[in-house]
Amino acid sequence: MNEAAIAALYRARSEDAIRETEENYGEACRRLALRLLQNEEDAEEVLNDAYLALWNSFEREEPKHLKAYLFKTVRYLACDKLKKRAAGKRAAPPIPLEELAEILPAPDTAEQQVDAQELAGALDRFLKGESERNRYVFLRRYFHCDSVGEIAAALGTSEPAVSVMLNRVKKKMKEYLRKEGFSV
Amino acid sequence: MNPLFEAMSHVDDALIAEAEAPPKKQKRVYWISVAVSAATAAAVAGLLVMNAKRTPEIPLSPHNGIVSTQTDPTVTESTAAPTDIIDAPETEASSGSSVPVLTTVIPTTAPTTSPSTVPTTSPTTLPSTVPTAEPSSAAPTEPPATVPTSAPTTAEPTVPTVSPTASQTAVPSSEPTSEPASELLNSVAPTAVSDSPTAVNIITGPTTEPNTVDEPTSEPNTVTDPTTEPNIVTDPVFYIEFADFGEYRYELQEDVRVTPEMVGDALGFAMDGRQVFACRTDGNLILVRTGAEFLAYG
Repeated sequence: MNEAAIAALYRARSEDAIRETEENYGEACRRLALRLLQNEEDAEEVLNDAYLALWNSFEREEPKHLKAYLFKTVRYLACDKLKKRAAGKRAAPPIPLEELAEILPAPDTAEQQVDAQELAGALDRFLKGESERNRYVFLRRYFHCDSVGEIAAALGTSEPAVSVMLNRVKKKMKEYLRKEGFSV
Repeated sequence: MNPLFEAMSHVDDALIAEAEAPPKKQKRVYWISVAVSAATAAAVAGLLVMNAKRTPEIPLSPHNGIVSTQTDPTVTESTAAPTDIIDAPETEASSGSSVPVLTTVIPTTAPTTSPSTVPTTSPTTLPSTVPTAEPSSAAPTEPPATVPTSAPTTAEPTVPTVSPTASQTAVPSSEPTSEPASELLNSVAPTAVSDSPTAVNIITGPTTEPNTVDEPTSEPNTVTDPTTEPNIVTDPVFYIEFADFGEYRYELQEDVRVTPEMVGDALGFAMDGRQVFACRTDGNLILVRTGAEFLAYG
């Protein structure tokens, strides 16, 4: 079932919408949650919360891209859970975090806190100015948390080539954020 | 938590959706390269076509090879054996040119003449033994010793062979009919045999018309002596099909009907595109191919 049909089920408030969502996107969402949380129970909990958030979203405003919205919800909920984990004990961060710290380090003080929405806007603008290939590599690596090998396989290229692309994009992004006024 | 990592969760949905599938590998088409390649290919093809259709206009020169033979309609591949070819390098006396030229002399014999009595034509005697110089020597009763072809005036009246008189009257050597022919006549000296025709397929003309009397031409000496020269003065006609000289085989693009009046005329083109001329050196009709080699003879 395609995305439009699933969205139609959500609009009809049919419970089949959740089942179809699980059948079509459940595995990808679970993989993303597991990569971020590295815990199956947490991942399953995040996934269920994401389905519920998607169900409720159709009451307010129908998302344009159902699958992308679901991924973003899973990621947001996973990051939120990571934050809660970090507050209690120091958990091992997801792999891409260290790489992203090269671009924009985590703030040490409250004054250095960066508005996530503002940063997301700058990130959107930067990525839209990049090539489709660069966008794909960057988002697969830092949004979906794919490994370099997986990205290389998907693109049909070598891992070093993907690493070079990532480094170039990160370097450009760092320069872009600096120009945007972010303390990099 | 890295703020950038968190901000990733707020990226535009369209960008996330786009990253679901890997982008298709872009195949850049450089139209300029394509256009240049196409133009180059077209130019090369055009040149090839032009070369195939172009006629090589190589002027006749003394260095061009000439075949000098006596005309004999019965000459076939078997009779025109390479053993008849005489290699005699020397210079042309009449033309005054000392440039040695590679020529091939293929004397042929008339059917009535026995091989033992027919001397092979020496290249040295070719210019001097033109029958036109001495019409009396070309009489049937006493054929010139230096002229290998015997005029079958009495023996074979039904066979329209090239008699010295006929060829003489048709194209007098003293009066060159055309520029290419005169150039060849004056300049080419059969000095050495460079190549030997292994097979020359010459189909004679109207052999079944024995007593056809040629209509009187403008030249009064068409028939010198009616008593000794029967009224079989017919123009030798040859249909040149091909001439095979060693490893080369030349074929005219069309069957060519060659007559003595055609001396100097361009007969056509060989298969390799070279032009073929009719020429004469010692009163005999030959075919000269532009370039270095002869093509055929008659």
